[in-house]
Order: sequence, then C-alpha cells, then structure tokens
Amino acid sequence: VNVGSALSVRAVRAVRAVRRVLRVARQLARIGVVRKSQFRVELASQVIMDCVWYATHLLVFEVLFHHADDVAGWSREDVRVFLGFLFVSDAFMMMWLGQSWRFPRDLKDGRLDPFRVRPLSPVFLYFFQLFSLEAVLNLVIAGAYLAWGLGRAGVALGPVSLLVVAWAIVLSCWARLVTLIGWSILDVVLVGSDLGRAVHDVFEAAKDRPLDVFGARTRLFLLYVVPVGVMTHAPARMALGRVGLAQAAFDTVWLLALGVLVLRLWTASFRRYESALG
Amino acid sequence: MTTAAPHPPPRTAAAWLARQARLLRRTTAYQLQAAAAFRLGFLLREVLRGLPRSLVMIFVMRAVVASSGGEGLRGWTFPALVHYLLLVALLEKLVFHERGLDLADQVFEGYVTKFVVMPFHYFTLALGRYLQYVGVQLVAVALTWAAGAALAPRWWPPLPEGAAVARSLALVVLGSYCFFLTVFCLNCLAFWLDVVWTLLVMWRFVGTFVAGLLFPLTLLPGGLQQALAWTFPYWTLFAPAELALGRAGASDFATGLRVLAVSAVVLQALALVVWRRGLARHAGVGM
Repeated sequence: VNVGSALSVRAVRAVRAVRRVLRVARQLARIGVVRKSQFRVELASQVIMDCVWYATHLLVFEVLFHHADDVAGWSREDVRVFLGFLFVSDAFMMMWLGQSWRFPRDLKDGRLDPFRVRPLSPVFLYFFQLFSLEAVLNLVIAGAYLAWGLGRAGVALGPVSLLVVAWAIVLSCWARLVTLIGWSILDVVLVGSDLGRAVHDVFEAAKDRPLDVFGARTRLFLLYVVPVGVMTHAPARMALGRVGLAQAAFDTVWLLALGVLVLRLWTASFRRYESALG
Repeated sequence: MTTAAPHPPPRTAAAWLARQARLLRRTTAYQLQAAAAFRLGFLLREVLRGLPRSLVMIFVMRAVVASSGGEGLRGWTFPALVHYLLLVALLEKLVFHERGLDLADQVFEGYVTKFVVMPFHYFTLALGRYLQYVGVQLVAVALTWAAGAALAPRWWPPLPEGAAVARSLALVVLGSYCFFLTVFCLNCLAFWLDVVWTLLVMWRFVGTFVAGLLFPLTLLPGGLQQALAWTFPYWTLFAPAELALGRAGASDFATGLRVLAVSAVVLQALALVVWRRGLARHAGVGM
C-alpha cells in the first residue's frame, strides 16, 4: 500500500510539473507572438527564407534523380518523405529552439545566471525561451509537404500509419532537441571555443542525406552514437515501412535513454558555469 | 560612401589615398586580431568550414554514379566529382561570408552614426574586413590543401599548373568581392527594414547553390546553366574549380573576368546609393 501511495504521489507531482511547463510554454509562445508582431516584414522574410532552404534541398535531389533512378536504394518518392521529416524537424527547431544558436555567445557574456534561479528546469527555460511565430507557418508547409510525400510514396493514411507517422515526427523532434543540447555541453566545457558549433556542422551535414549512402559502421554511428540520423533517416524508414515495429521501438527506447543521459550531463556541466566565465 | 567628416580634408588626392591606405592596413590588422581572439574556435571554424558538407556530397555522388551504371554523369567520373567537390569546398572558404560584416547590427542598435563623424569613409572599415577575411582564408586554404594532400593523396585534387592556379584564384577573389558588396548592400537595407539577417541567410542559400557548391553546374539542364553563366556566383566557384581541374581555359577565364568586373562595378555603385540614402534617413537612435 505504501509503495502504491508513493507512486501515486510521484505521478501527481509529475503531472503538476508537466502542467507547469505547459503553462510557461504558453506564456513564452504569447510573448513570441507579441515580439514578432513588431517586425512583420521580418516575419514574412523568415517564412520565405525557410521556403528557399526547402527549395535548395528539393532541387539538389531533383537534379540528382535526373541522372539516376535511386540514391543508395532510396527512390525519388522515398527521398521526398525523407525531406519531409527534415523540414518538419527543422520547423520545430525554428519554432522553439532558436535561442540555441545564441548559447555560445550568452555563455561567453555570462548571461545565464537568471536560468539557474528560476523555478523550472534551466534546460527548458533557456532553450525554449524564444518562440517563433513564423516557424508555425513553416511547420504547416513542411507538414503538408510530408503528407504529400507520403501520399506519393504510396503510404496509405489509415489510423495505424497515422500513428506511426506521428510517432516518427515526435522521434525526429526529440532527436533534434537531444543533439542541440548535446552540442551545447561542449561549449560549457570549453567556453569560447565554438566547439559546439563546429561539431554541429561536422555531424549535422550528414542528416540532410539518407544514411544509406554511407557504410554500415558510419550509418550505425550516426544513428546510435551521435544520433543525427534519428532526425530524418530513422523516421523516414519507419514511415515508409522499411523497418519493422520492433526496430522502431528499439530506436525510440535508445534515443529516449540517450536523451535522458544528455539532459543529465547538461545539468551537471551547467553546475560549473559561472557568469565570470566570459 | 562619403560621410560628413568634421576633420579638415587632406590637401591632395594622393594624401587622401595615403590616409585611406594606412587606415585600411590598420583595420585589417585589428579585424585579424578580433577573429583570432578565440583560437580553438577560430581554427575549427576556418579549417572545417564547408568540408563536412562536401564530404557528405561525395558519398551521395558515389551512390548516384553507382545507380547510373558507374559511367559517370555528363562527363564527370566519380574521381573527377570528388576532385570538384573538394575544390569548391576549399575555394568557398575564400568567398566572403555574411558573418564578416555587422553593419546591420550597427544600424539596428543605432551606433553606426559614430563612424559618420570620423575622418575616414565607413566603407574603408568594411573593406578592411574583406581584406582580412580573404587574407586569413588564403592561409586556411593553403593549410587545408597541404593537410588533405598529405592525408588522402589518392582522392585529393592534384595541384594545377601555375597559370591555372593564378586564373582560378583571380576569379574567386574578384567573385568574393562581389559577394562582399552584395552582403554590404543587404546590410544597408537595415536602414529601412531594421532586421535583415533572413535576407543574408537567403542570399547565402541561393548564392552558394547557383555557384555550384553542391554539384557541378553542368549537371543542370543546359538552358539553366547558360542563364547562370551571366551571374557572378557562377564565375566565383564553379568556373574557378573547372579552371583548376583543367576543364576550362583562357577564353573562359576572360569571359569570367568580364562578368565579374561588370558585376563589381554595378554592385559598387549600388552600395554607394543604398549607403547614402540609408544614412540620410537614419535617426541614429537604435531600437
């Protein structure tokens, strides 16, 4: 009975914590909308910017498929689904994680003290503080493209496949969050090195292409050690039915565990932060 | 780029030029110090920039060539594609990057006005940044080339003959100047729009794509390639890489030089106009 009541107390606390996080997220979104309403040209410009970015990715593959029928076993239709996940996870990052680009600068300038004393996780408060309204529009565009790509790839949109696609999207966004936080740990350890940005550029170039272009060892490394492939490759192969549910479940559990580890490491490394570091 | 200078102007044009040259030399040295302040970040940024993307594209090209029957794409064999992608990754380091100029931030925060009362043209400061940028990147390119040739001699592009190197570098440096002027003009739009980073990023996406950073432009449909040959990005990366690989010759170089020279003159005039008009409406109070 005691174990049961302890568990129920913990469950209630967890629910309260989630509700508090959601309340704060709602306020951050409200502030983001107000901020963006002051720069309307900038808002439109950001939507167009992301569309230009989408277009360059699409054009690269359209040109390549002009010369070949498939790229490492991925047909034109498969690659469209792959790119759909890339665009959706990018829109999620632009919507909620824009502040992460400023992390090395904020660290150098010693601006992180307030996040240590506020009554919520510093990870959440720092990385989610900058809500971008324009990314909502981009998310709609990216989501529509993904849906179109799935249709063209012959994925029948029934309840089960919708559930799998939703699962794949959550996995893709979670991978984006985990990797961004992971790179930022390097900046905390070596302040002023820009190491996080450099490593980000090295590994994340790989996520824009199907990982089957690499050898087996590199592919496994990019899926399970530095999980940039879970943003695009893993969700696309799930949605396309290229892997079974057992493999998808394994990928999910592994990335959840990796995410928890990264969050703990970030919290531990953040303890050594001093505003005088810069 | 004239500014209302309260100091007495130099008596002769030669004295004026000498003063600008002294300032340019000093600004270039200051910018170099600022860029190298965080040494590890500086090294990582300058050596690694652009290489991972090209390495990934090499793997993609291997898959595409294999899928097309292994005969190559429009005259590009797989080793030739590897050489091309590595070359453009190196040459792209010389192309002026928008992070090299923070004029838009100065306009947005309202402190660009402090340069208006100084005894030199603001453009000289910006030009100092361009020279510092190209100077540092030339060293980075030389070091990366040497490291690549030592580590992967089988795949690394062979060193071209002297004339091809000179022609290739001339086009890249002049093209880089056109990129610099474009970035300057886009920064000046902050006088009207306040925030312009999205325009700068958009320009980077488009500029580098049409410059042939991701694949040789001969893989594009013929009409599109011919249209791009009228633009300066085409002659900034794709053509210099072809020159260095011995796939283009002196006549192509002359054509590229003409296109880049005309583009530079037009962009210089445009930069002058947007700077003057922008400054005329600038209140200098920031946001």
